[in-house]
Amino acid sequence: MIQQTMFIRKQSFLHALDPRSKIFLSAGLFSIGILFSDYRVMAVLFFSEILILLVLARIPFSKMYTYLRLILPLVVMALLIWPLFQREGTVLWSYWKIIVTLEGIQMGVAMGFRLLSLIVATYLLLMTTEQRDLILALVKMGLRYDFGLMLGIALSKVPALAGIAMTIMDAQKARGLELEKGNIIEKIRKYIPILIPLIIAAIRLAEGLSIAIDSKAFGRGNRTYLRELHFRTKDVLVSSIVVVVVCLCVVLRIRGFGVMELP
Amino acid sequence: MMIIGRDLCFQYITSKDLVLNHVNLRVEKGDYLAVVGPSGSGKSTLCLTFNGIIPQSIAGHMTGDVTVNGLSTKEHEVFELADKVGIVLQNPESQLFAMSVEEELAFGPENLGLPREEICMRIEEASHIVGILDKERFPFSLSGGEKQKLSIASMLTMRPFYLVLDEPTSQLDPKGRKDVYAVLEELHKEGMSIILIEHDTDYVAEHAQKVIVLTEGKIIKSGSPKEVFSDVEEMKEWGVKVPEIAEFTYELCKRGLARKVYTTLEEAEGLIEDLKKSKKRKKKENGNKKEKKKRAFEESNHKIIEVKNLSFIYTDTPVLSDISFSIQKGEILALIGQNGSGKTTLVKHFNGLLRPLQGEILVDGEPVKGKSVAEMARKVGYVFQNPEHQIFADTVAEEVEFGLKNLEVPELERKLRVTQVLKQTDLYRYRDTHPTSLSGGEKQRLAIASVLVMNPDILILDEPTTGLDLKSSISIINLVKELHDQDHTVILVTHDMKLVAEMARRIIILRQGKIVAQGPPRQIFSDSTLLQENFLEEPQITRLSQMMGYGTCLTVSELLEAVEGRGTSANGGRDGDGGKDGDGGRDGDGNRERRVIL
Repeated sequence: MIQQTMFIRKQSFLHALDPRSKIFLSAGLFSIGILFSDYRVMAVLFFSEILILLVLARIPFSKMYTYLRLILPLVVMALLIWPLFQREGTVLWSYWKIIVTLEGIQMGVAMGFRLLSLIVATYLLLMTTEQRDLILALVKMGLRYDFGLMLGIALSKVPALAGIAMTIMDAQKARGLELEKGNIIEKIRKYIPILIPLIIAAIRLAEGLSIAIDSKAFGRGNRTYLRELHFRTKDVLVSSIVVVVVCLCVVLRIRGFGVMELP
Repeated sequence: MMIIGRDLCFQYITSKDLVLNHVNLRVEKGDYLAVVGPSGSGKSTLCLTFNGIIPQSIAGHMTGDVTVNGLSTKEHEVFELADKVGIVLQNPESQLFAMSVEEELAFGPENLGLPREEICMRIEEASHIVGILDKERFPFSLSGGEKQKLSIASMLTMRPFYLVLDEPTSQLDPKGRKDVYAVLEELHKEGMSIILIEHDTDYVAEHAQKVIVLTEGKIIKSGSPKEVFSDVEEMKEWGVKVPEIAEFTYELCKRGLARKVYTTLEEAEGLIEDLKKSKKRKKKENGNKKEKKKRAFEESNHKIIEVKNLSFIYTDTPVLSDISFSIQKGEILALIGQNGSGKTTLVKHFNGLLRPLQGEILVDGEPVKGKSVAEMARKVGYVFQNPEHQIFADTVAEEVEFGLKNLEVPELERKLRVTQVLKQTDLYRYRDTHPTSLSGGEKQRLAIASVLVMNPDILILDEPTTGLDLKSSISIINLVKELHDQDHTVILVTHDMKLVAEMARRIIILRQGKIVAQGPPRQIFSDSTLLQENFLEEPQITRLSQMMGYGTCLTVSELLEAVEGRGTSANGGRDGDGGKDGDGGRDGDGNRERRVIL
């Protein structure tokens, strides 16, 4: 079953924060991840993010792992490929033209953790914030409402379209279509009988949606919102901490801390 | 306080002819107006003119004029009319777009700029009217009926005077239909004006106050349901289905057995009186005894599909639990039950689209296990519900050829088969046409043709008549009958009880992944407790025949025969439990006779 959202309903400090401060927090963590490149800093960043999710959002690790698993192949690739390109430094092992250096491995580890920490920084936001609050926050931060609405509709229609895609696939399979057979070009061609009905279905869906949206007085102006966002004291607190920490990190980075030194 | 259409004409930019042709109408507050007519008659277009979507949002040329409570739709934007006219479309998926029920209900009033307390109050009120109380739910996860009720509720929060519904129940199961109708009746009682487009004239006759009949963009008839549907001959000519009771009483009138055409079951008392006066009749019991005798030799027939202890689990929820049964060669079997009862899951095992978790399926004596779906396609043809979900080619002929190409049939044979199947499905004249320009019924026939071309013994039809008008349904029914005569085994998965009564030799009722009942239609439809427990309803004519004391007649022609006193023998033959054996003689005649009457 396709899940429509990563949101996990819990009572926690992070869940209760205003989505705007959570966007701020995520962005802060994201920029720290980009600022530094030392593997130790990256590891610390990653583990502290996990700690924030566990303690402040009370999200069990197993739930995180479901999503982390999806990017593990990328992490493994970073671990394997970086050492191949970092050919200078302390040679640990060499064979034919392959040279593995200590720096290469450190680089791989750093990139692996950077990837993980950037992803977890966004998870932190998505797992603790309902999509509608997120969109509302973006609108409050200056996004045009119709863009926000469009984003929301796109997200909410993913499961419906996925369902239609499955039905179409089954219908064509029942007509003898074998998607697994053949070389790459043949395989791509085989998706035409699936894509065409899917595109038509999506257009039909969009036609109906535009009628429904119009019929519900969209565009009348002076829109009110059922949900309200409250920027409370703790939001001010969290935001200030984020500002202070990020500033601190920038200073450290300028002083040359946390940068991978390459020969 | 009314909607008035004056001399309304409309033409889409893409269409050649007028879609609405000088329409005049008036909907007053508190009215319950039904719009009926064949597909393509302009019903949906008419709907969209009531809240200004036409001409404001959809491009085209409109003359004449529609006013809603005095506001002309030409001069006022859709959002100005939105709190006067609510609109509900056929496909719930294309009207719901929020992440939660609450948000869905809030969208309208938010746009109206109402204060928060007012919005909360309206949400509370609307969700109670339709009975969806969990406001955190993701609309996608609701059942079809609930989705439509939510669509209605999302309009109610804007407190409209008029509610326009375009075939709101055509994609729902019987329980969903009942629930949605119940909400409509409740709203009408509270004073809401309702404009309903509906194929199901049995329902229209009982509940609407006024009916207009639209064909080719013109209103050809309007009046009370009684006035409109009494004109059975004319309605049929226009391709509009009349209630079965009207059709029946019309035939009786012709024979001088009834005084007038009745349109609802409530009037049946009068009909019984009529019959008593006009004729001393002998009560004939229907052939229930005969059926039992015939069933015995059905079981000795050739089993084309055998299901043994089949279980299937989908993400931790059992969908099918320990199902065993078999299907005879040449049988027409109907699988019925609510959505989610496991019907589709079950039939997807027959061609290998799903693999059993436990148990085994034998098709023609061989296990499905280990065979690819493509291999199975030669034996088991599966026509999915919505033909639009499989049509992709540039011409009708190419569409039909697709399956054969997949099976790597040589070109010469392919062309031969395609021509043959196109002729059989009456699509030959469209062979070079683009499939999207076909009508709904023709698309359905194309979907059947593109499966039939692989020459399967077994044909699975998922909701073959859903959303089709009278003429298209008849053409599908006649096609299926023809295939059955050619010894195809047909499995119908459907909510259409009239189709079941008309076609099926045997019914299997599924509920929560288990078979709760099986037997010939006469037996199933005479068990009202069983039907009620499964939220099913027998065809109107069956109810009537039971009320009149003629047992369980399944079709109008059957009840006619029973009333005229020559019933029993023909009735017995209709069931033709022997499948193959009955085909040659009487049953074949029966088929032809029914075709004429339809």
